Amino acid sequence: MKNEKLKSIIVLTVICLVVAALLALTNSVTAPIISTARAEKVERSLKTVLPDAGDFEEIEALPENAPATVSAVYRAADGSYAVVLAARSAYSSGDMGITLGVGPDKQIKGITLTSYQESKDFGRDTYPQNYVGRTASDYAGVDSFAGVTYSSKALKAAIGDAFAVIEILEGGGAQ
Amino acid sequence: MKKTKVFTNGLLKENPVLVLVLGTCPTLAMSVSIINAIAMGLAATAVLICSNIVISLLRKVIPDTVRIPCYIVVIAGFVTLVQMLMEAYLPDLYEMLGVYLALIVVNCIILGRAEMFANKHGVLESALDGLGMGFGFTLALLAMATVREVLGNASFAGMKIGFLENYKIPILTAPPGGFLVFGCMIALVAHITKGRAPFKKSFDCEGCPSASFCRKDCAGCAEKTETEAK
Repeated sequence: MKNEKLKSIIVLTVICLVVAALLALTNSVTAPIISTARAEKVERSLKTVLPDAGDFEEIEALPENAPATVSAVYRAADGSYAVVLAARSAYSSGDMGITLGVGPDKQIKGITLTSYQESKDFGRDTYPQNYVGRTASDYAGVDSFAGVTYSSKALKAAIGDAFAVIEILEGGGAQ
Repeated sequence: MKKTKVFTNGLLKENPVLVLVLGTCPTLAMSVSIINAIAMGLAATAVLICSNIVISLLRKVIPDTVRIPCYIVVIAGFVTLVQMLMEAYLPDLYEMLGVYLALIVVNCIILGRAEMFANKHGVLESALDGLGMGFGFTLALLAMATVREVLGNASFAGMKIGFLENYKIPILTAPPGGFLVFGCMIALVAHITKGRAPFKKSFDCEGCPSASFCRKDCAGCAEKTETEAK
């Protein structure tokens, strides 16, 4: 009986270790490819949200008090900002990748979702476009909606975070 | 059992979706479009074949008490492997499948075949069973997706069918339409197989993953099933 228990523990542990080793090996091969593809996707999304802004320069040191959802901020020569966000709602298992383009007049010029695992309609619906033309003072007026597979609440909060980080940067809050 | 029969069983007679009614969640979600259906079918087939082979190889090593956790670890490992490879080499398809790719781990077809077949048979037979069941799953998804996409969206694999544009039945692309088509397909297969498939021996208490603990509470279950089968 004792031997059986011990055997069960050993077998399950060995299987877990072998599977983990295989996954680690696969990850070492695929991780660089995946991260390059993601970076390229973000690059493309900058052009999608601000097609006329010209070249972008990434702000290397984000302010310390920048919201946690902000992954990167890019500044264009004409004063536009493209903010890359990774928002997470309470129920989702993965981040919602958002790129937001804010023009020199601080109006939202474009918004695109770059990744989200939990919606089969991801990227095909028009809801995020309701924010185009909104500013920091009136973006909260866009209605949220229910019955969809991604969180409009998380999207709205992320947009607020984007405006917050731009305000910090414009106000000289970068540290 | 003949090897060809092991393979062909999963296609129609013991089709995992339309006869065993397993894997209903991905079936309904992924049968909206033909491309999604093929992608999901092939991903599940790959996991099914690999997990069946590994479980068959380890069937004499894995103790009975921890067999389910062992199967889950093996299946989850293969699903994660497929996820990583798909995200790296087929990113568009990876995005299309979304969360349903990860949900292959809990797909009843895969755990069901591990428990009902792979842990009782040799490697080659288990691989053929995985292939047959995987193709059966893919074919069922494809058949449902064809009906739903052609009649519901007037397109075939994304290509528009002009003459159907004014005769679309949009409900077929929505969840109620999925259930409707699913029900019709099950009825069709039951008609073709004359409804005999569900009474095969492999679907009685012996083949049930819960048999070992279920029978403790239901002593007469085995006798009852045998009488019914007769």
